[in-house]
Amino acid sequence: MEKKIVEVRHLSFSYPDGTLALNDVNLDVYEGESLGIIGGNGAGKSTLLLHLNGILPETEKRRTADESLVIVDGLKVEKRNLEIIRAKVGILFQNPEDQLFSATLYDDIAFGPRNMGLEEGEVEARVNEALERFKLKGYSGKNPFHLSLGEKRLAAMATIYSMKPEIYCLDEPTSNLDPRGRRELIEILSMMEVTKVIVTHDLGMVKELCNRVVVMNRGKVEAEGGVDSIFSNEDLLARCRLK
Amino acid sequence: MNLGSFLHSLDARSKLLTFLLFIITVISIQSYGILQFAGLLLYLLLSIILSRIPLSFFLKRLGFILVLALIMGGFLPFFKHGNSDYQVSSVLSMKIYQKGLILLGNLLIRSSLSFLAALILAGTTGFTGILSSMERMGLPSSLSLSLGLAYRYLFVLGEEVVTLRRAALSRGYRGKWIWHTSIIGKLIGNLFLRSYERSERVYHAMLSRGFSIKNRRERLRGKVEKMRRADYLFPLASILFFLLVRFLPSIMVLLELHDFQLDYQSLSVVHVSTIGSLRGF
Repeated sequence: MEKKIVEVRHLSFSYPDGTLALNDVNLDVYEGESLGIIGGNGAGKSTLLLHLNGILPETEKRRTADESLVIVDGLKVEKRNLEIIRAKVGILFQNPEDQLFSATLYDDIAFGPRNMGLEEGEVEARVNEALERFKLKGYSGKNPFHLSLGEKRLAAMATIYSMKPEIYCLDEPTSNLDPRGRRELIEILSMMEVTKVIVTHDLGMVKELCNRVVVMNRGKVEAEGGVDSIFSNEDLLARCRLK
Repeated sequence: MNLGSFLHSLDARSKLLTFLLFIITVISIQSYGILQFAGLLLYLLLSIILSRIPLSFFLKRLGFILVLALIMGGFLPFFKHGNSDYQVSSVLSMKIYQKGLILLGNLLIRSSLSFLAALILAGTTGFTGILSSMERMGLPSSLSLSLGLAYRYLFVLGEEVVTLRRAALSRGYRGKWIWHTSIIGKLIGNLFLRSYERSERVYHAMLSRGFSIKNRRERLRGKVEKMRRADYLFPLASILFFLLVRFLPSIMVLLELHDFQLDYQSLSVVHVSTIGSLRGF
């Protein structure tokens, strides 16, 4: 766990209405680790995640401060590197309905691999593997909007799983899942030997999956450290609306 | 859904060209061309069999186009088309004219045949397949992309409508009466706002999975599949058939098939006399 796979330096970002979502954030993610990012609502966790895949600097460039720097696997997150970075970093949105947009689940899962320029045979193999992995076999011809919320969450996971990214950035992956669905997803995630950045309010999942935790509050990194040391700090958790 | 039929397996470009020429043939046939229309219908029936798509799929959708054609052309029989036109009947003191009836009949036949052809194409190729083949045949990339995105957003928009309707219904909205119009207006306004925001988030989802215009162009360019023999033979055989159908009257005259020509004309006479029998209506 020595190699830094993600480096975030002096990242600041404000939304068009002037809300400062990220304020001079500095963060390192190491290869193979599972990093939990926790914090209250509006702490800037999701905004940070969107920067790791290059979505926000691209679509709202003016709102990201000039001195901000995000590096993924040695590549600076900027326009000329986005194609490679997006194949490396898979991002799961907070609301699964934002992630699904195709007429059939098959097309949605195939969307990423096709953008990666894979042959149709390989695309099909990856789609089938993802459907199998997330127990969605038999749903491939269905419209993703007709799935239940829990199924949509799994389908959204399958859409990034099919791209086989090196880094999974997951925004609230267990929300809307029933207890069994949550348990199954945690098991799947624990078996995946890739780098994971998990933004969540589900502290139980963080305890089970993560080696390290970053606590965010009002757009800043408030604390970071091992799971036990963070969770034993009652004052910190209360101050960051986690208790 | 791919049913693995002969038509499904054909290259999209070959199908697009064939059914486009079919529609041009339908449009170019003159009125009274009953044999010609029958020939084209036979071609469509054979295509439906080759596509393995259930007939019910086509019949269900055909109703929509027939209603639309009736709305557009339903008034035609009530207008006199030239001095040679004559009245065949009347309904509620409105005169019905012979040429108008024939025009309406033609409109229904042509629109049904064209629509069926488009359905076979869509059913065996899919919208995205049609778009990419159109792009390979010279459609500007930006136009193809816009159409593709519009198609994608249709489903997203549909979902937004359902969500909005549910939200309104859950709070007692029924939307039956005229005084509900302002509420409907507000809902539509809200729908536009939500759709705009949603489209932005969908765009983010596409970007996050590597979508880019450059990437897409390269993918299309790199994946031009080689046409097989069947991909050439199917349009070729179809075009020969369309030419035969299109020039059937002239061919019969040239070959001096007077007896057959008479039959052909008599069919037209039957057609007119059927309309003439409406006099008693």
